[in-house]
Amino acid sequence: MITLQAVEKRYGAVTALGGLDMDVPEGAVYGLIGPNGAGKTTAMLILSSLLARDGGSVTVAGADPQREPRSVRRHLGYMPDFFGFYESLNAFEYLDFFASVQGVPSGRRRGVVLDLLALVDLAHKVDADVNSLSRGMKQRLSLARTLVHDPDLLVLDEPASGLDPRARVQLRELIAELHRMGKTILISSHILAELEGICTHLAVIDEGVVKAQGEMDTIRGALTGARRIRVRVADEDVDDALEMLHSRPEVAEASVERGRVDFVLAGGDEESAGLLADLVGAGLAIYEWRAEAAGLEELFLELTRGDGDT
Amino acid sequence: MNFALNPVLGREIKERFRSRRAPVFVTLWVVGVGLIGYLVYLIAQLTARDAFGLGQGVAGGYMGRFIFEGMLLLLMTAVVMIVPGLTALSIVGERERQTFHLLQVTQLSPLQIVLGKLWSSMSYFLLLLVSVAPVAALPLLFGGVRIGDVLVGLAMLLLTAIMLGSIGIWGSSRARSSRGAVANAYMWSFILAFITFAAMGAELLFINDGEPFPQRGREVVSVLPNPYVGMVSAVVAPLGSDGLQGTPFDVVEILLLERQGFDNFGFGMGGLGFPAQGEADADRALPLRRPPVWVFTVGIYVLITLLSLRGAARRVRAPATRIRTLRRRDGGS
Repeated sequence: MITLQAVEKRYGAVTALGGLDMDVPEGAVYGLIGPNGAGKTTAMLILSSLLARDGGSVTVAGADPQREPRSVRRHLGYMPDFFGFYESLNAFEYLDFFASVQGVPSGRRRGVVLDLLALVDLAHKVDADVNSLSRGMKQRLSLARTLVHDPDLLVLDEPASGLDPRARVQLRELIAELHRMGKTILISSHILAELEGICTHLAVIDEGVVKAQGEMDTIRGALTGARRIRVRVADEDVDDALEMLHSRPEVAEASVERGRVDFVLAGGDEESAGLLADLVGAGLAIYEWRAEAAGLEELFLELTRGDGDT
Repeated sequence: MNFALNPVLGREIKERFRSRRAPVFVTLWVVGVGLIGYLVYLIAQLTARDAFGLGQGVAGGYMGRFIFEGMLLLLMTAVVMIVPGLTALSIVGERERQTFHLLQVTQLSPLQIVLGKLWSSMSYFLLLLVSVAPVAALPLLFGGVRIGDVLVGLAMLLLTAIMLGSIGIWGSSRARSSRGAVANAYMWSFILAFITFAAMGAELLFINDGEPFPQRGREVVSVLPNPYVGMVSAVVAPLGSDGLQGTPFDVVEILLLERQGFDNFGFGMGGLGFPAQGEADADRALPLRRPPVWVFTVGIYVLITLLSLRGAARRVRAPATRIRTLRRRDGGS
């Protein structure tokens, strides 16, 4: 659905994108994470046909946003990281205006707008001034605005920013619903836990280049090649287990905490199963073996060297 | 392109007329124009009394002409003072409330956005004109004014409004702040309306060394884009005089006549009122030695309008080489 190849963008002496490669498959919920200044918004502006690139190639729904912007805009709904409201309009009029500028025929507009207000759970606010809405409601109304022309692709720039926990949950559910409706969604966020819960794919961007990207599960393994494992063993076997783990080169950070042995294992499922077999083979009584994949937070910090302002 | 259904126009009108300021401003405008119109009427009455005495039928025509010319000058001043303010915030306002990108990423073309803004401002201006129509129609009750003169005067007002509105939108598309946009719009308006008069003085005094107009006339380049001169020229066409003395157009008419090389036209009676019987008609039959000013004015205004709208559309077009966002929340990169 979206392909960016070696995309470059400079603002004077500052390089915002230094050869960005990204591939967003159709139907994906594609998370874009990176620290401030990483180039997320710049990339989104370029593929949304708002900003011209300095180099590389971009294809969105089969069209180049720089050469065929109107074609791209037919397929794309863009939600920037700010609201953008006309204060004197109510929720219905606001959506009706954007439906009209997106070319929705006047005979269909009322139905489209009411359906969208129902979708984002704002049907009861149809006559409410946009200024009177809560931040979460405004964000949902913004999301409805991106949907007025029924685009295949949604580009959401930090949609959860500034929302309270309840509003975040509502937004998350809404994005999941849109995913079920078959929309391709590109979403950036600093709220890493949000992306972890809803994304099927992920790209980590820093200093204008993608550090890693792919399916969520794949990228976790590829990024760290490690997982944290928690083992509960018989009390009398704790010291032996710790000694054995210290002797294994693929094990790091082994320690005992509240009767459990914690360590980081370099490797995937095979290495995990092999180590378990060795421990059992050594006669240790293993009561519980829990392997936990590294969280996005850890991956993000690792890839961006923890210098992100998140 | 269907301008009447331009969605930007529809929304702008809705927003503009919903604001609390709109009815207050329209009321003040009507009252203000009414008061000034009444003042013009009183002056016309006094002037006519001096020229004809009371009870003279011909004084009605003179008063009608006097009020008509006074009202046109008043409305032109209103155009110069109001229209820049109507359009200066059109684009920069979208940037400031962060709706600009949202418009750009729709199916609207840059020209549709710009024209929507322009028509919106013009519709408001037309409302102001219509609201004072009863006052402006006062001269028709007195006579002395042809319907053609009224239409030509209104056309020049409208053209000037469109031209100044286009400049305002162009400036708004380039501005980094609303204050800068307003300053830019009024700067151009004042240059065209008033600085050109000062330039005319310099042109006559220095460039031509203060010499009187020769018999063949002389071009006065600096006043060609002046809205007042253009309007007077159009209304009193072809030669440049209404044939009356002591009316508000007189100052400009003298300039227009001398530009054609006629320095004694209609002003030789030494008093107010009409020229001698048949003199005006005879003088109107004199050949034009250079094209009327309004021809240049209209040409210049059309050119300025087209260039301004083109410039504004280019600024509104996306993708742009850089994003100019005036106010942003934290968090973007």
